[in-house]
Amino acid sequence: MIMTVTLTILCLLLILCFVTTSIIPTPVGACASLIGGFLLLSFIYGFLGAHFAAVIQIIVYAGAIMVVFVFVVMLLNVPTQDLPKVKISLADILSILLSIPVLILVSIKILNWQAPMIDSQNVEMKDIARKMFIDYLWPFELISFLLLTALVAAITVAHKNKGSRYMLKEGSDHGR
Amino acid sequence: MDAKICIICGLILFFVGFFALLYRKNIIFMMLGIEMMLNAANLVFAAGTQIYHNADGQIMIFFIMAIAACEAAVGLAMLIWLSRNRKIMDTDHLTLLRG
Repeated sequence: MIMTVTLTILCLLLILCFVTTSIIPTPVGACASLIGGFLLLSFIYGFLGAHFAAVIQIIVYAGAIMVVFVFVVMLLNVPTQDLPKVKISLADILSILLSIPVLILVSIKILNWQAPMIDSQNVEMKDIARKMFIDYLWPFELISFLLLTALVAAITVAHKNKGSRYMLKEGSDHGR
Repeated sequence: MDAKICIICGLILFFVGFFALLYRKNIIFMMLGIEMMLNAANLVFAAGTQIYHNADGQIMIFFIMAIAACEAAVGLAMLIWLSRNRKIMDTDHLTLLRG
């Protein structure tokens, strides 16, 4: 019972962090709030027994990917972004009001679902490693090629080439 | 019970990320929205691991993280190119497909 209450509180905090990320005007604040959300997410993985996922969530996601985001925000000196002004029409309000009962109905359906009873051991690191290098060997190798391709693409795109014909001309209208 | 709460939480988080992707105009915020959607998918995979006692879900989390890393690398490189050569970061000003 106390586990369920703790998990619910963690989930609510996680939703709060992600909502903050989507509506905060400052880019660094958005990145920091998303990193906080990733830490909460790794706690939730630990509660669910997915320890491998909890560890790589912190090391890879919060430690590597988000650091790249923060670095780019610092490098480009992104200013505070004003939130886009949206005119809220009657159709918007109606769709929001209609989506809430749909969410409640789906939640009730999920909560009433009888999960299959499977009597096997919890997933250990050993099982993940065995499966990854036997059943998922080809996808694993393809992912390594994908990472290599992304590395080459990122270097090629971000490389400074002065003679490009698509560069900003003097007095042009910011590429419009 | 724990896993079901996480599935509902993943559902809500996916739509929060989708909202960020549609609402914000700056490319950095849109990419953060995509990251949120990928993490919502990860959360549902972790819940599935707990329900079925199967390692496949955690392997999928690993693969999704690798794909998110690729997406972040290429997207941020494109962002650097745009801000250096065109001095823009808003999708409202990106009206040309070429170059």
